[in-house]
Amino acid sequence: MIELDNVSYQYKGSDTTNLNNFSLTIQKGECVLLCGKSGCGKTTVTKLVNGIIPYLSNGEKQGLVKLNNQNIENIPMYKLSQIVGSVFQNPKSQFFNLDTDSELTFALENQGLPVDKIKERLEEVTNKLAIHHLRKRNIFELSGGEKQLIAIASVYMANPEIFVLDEPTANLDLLAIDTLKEILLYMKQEGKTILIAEHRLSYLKEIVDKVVFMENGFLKEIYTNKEFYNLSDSKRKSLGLRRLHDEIEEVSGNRYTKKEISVCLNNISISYGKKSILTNISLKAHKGDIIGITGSNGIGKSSLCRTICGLHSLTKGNITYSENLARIPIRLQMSYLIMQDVNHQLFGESVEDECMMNNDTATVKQIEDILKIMDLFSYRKKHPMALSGGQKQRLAIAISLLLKKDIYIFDEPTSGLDYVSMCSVREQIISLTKKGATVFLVTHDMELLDTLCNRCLFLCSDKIVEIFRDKNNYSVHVKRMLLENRE
Amino acid sequence: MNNAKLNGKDLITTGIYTALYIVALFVASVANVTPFTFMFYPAVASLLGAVFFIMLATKIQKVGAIIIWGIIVGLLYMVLGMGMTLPFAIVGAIIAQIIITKTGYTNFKMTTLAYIIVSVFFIGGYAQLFVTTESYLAESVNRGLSQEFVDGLASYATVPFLIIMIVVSAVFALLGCLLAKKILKKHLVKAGVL
Amino acid sequence: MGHLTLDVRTKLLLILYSSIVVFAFYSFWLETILIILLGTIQFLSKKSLVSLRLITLYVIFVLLQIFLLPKLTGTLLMMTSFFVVSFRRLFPCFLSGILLINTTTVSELTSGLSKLKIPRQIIIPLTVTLRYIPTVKEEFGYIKDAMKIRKFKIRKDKFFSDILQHIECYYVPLLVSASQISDELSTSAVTRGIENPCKKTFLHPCSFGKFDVIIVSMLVIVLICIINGTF
Repeated sequence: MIELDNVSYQYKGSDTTNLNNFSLTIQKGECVLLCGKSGCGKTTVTKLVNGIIPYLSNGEKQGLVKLNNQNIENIPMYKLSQIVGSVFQNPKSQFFNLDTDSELTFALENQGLPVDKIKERLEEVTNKLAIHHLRKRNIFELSGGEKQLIAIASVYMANPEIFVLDEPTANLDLLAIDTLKEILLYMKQEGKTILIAEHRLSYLKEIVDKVVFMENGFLKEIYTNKEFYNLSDSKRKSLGLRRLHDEIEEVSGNRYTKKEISVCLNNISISYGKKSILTNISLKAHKGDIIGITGSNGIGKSSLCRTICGLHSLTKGNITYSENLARIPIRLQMSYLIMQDVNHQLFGESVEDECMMNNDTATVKQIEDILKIMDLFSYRKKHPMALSGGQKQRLAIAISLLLKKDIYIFDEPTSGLDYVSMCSVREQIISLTKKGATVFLVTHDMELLDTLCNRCLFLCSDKIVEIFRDKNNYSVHVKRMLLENRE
Repeated sequence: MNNAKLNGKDLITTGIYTALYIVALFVASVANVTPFTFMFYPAVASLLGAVFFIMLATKIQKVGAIIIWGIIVGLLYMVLGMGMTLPFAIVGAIIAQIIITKTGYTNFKMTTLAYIIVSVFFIGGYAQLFVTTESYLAESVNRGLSQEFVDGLASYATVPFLIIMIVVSAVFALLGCLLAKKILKKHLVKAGVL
Repeated sequence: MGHLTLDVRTKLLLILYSSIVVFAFYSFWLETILIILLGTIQFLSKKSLVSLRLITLYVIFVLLQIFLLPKLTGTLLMMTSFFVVSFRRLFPCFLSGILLINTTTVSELTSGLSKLKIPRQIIIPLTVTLRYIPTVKEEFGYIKDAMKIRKFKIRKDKFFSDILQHIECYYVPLLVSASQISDELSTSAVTRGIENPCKKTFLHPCSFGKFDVIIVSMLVIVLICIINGTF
């Protein structure tokens, strides 16, 4: 069905070839997983198959990509789009419409299909994928997981033979990943061909037939499902891959927790305008704690974080830092938020400049030291936006270290990061607590939660439930509670 | 000269930069508070919006993007009650497009010139005031504008003042472009966005 | 009976009417009629939509104009009269704009504009613009938060350089994400066939119903009355 024959590709402005002599044949009805570190070339392969390369990307291509024995370059993009459906990583930016129904029918309307047919298909897909609750909704009301579900459904509407997915779970929570898994299984039963590039691997265990491992633009190895999911833990780590099974124990227990209380929330309530978000929440955090915050979508995790660091005010109760009342200015002074999209918080013209901005106390020596620790020293002249995702995050941490903060809040620090970058984020966070900082971590990444946090909280609108590790990891409990708390 | 037609990606990119320009217009509307600054609203708007125009002109090196931008911005002015701006915006945008296209899209000076011209054209929304000063003002009194306010406006509505408005708009547009150039050089080129 | 739904073209006509007719043939009664009409349409379309605040503000402005303005003089009058009078004139535009934006989906707007024979080259950017403005608003919020955390302030002694720094801090992230989103949105639109040259169909094709006829004829009658000098 799909045939890549000795394909090489180099993006415009890139110093090296991004894909080298890549050959792969995918049979009809097969599900192929592409894995490897960030930048290994797996996204390039997906773009070659859905035609984005060369259509929207003017780099240098060699070799042939064939679809049903036809050179893909000879198929006009709009025709190709009826055969190959694509789902991308960022649910926020793949919507063309502002309401879900228009988004779902978008592809079919473009094809000029009769209205009756579109209606029929819309009902069919709604039933098959069980998305009744998502019909006729405003895109901005949806959670990341719900958006991604609509994105998949809107591709499924056009009923393509081939599905290409590029890191579809980067921004999804546990339950949304489960839903995605069911949909993929369903598509496979229908005989669809699936090509998926992904960092998270465990949920695909029952779906993939073949796993392609890539490194530096080269195809390194092709595994069968059985071979791949039986790789030993040390082997998969050496390949730089994320965990293959959810069940594996990897307890880390925290190392640097101290007795002193750092942050204390006393019966706080938060609201936006008239809408009450959280009521009567209490929490004590110690120095050195790494506290994972979980909970259903839209329950108020980010509101809680914005409140702790002084970006939002309280309607009731109070917050103390080290047992002193902490009003907004103090909270802003002492705490630091690392946003999910770090792009919004970097303003400098170079890494060095970024560190010096609005900071009168940091010396050149201090900046150099911290950049060295963060492995950014050799990039100090580079523009912050030209760094990779993981580097940007380290830069944001470096800035906070220079500002000498005590309380850190991370919002989804590992979305879309590969195993190696995740480990590096983990190391950075641990070293923060070594210095006595308290870290709050909002994350969907269960691998990170299990291996990093020493406490885990489940947020409900009127209480916080503490989850304890027993013979099961946090993720097992979180999943159970998410299911219980689903409306 | 590139005669290629705008493809889907170009049209979407045009929409995105136009949206940013329109947000800049909203931000600039702070200027609408007094009759004096009210007259300079288009100038403030062109100062803040310049960078998005430059980005649009640089990103899409094909005929049409600037014209589409002009039409959409003109339509917005119409929804906000300055319907007269639309035809001026379209003509200005066409001239700007011709200049930019003829000079091969990458000439910063000519792009700046094009932006200054189109910004001056946006003043067209006030054309009613200048072309038919008296009847407009009489009409304004009927509309319930206070005589004094109208006198205030009338004192501006003279030929020298028209010239001042044009000069101020042009200068603000130029400043906007210089700011844009600084940001482009300082950030976007290094960041790999351009 | 369900909610009132109007053809996109009627809504566009209302905007055009508010922004041109009201300005070309101004009269206080015309303005009032239009405000009442638009308020009623909003009420019938979706109860929650009624811009009660705007309408209340409108009434306040009218009352201010009648009772307060005659008592003011000088600069104070200049300042208030601008708000009370010039701003008020825009209310029909605002109300019809809100009606269009809140009751029309991107796909309905596209269908209406295609029926009006507006070329694709304008429809696509226009709909993208409308779609992207709320996103920009969202990003503005994030950048504002980030600047608060980093303590960006406007100091009196360095007013201009601080203002410039502020502008830069908003521009850079907005432009970086604009460039990223335009790539990603194009990719997703192109892979779903936006460039298909065939005639698009619409799930909810716009069609002129009896309400549209009623409203359009009302607008025409009012226009004739104005031209004849009835108002």
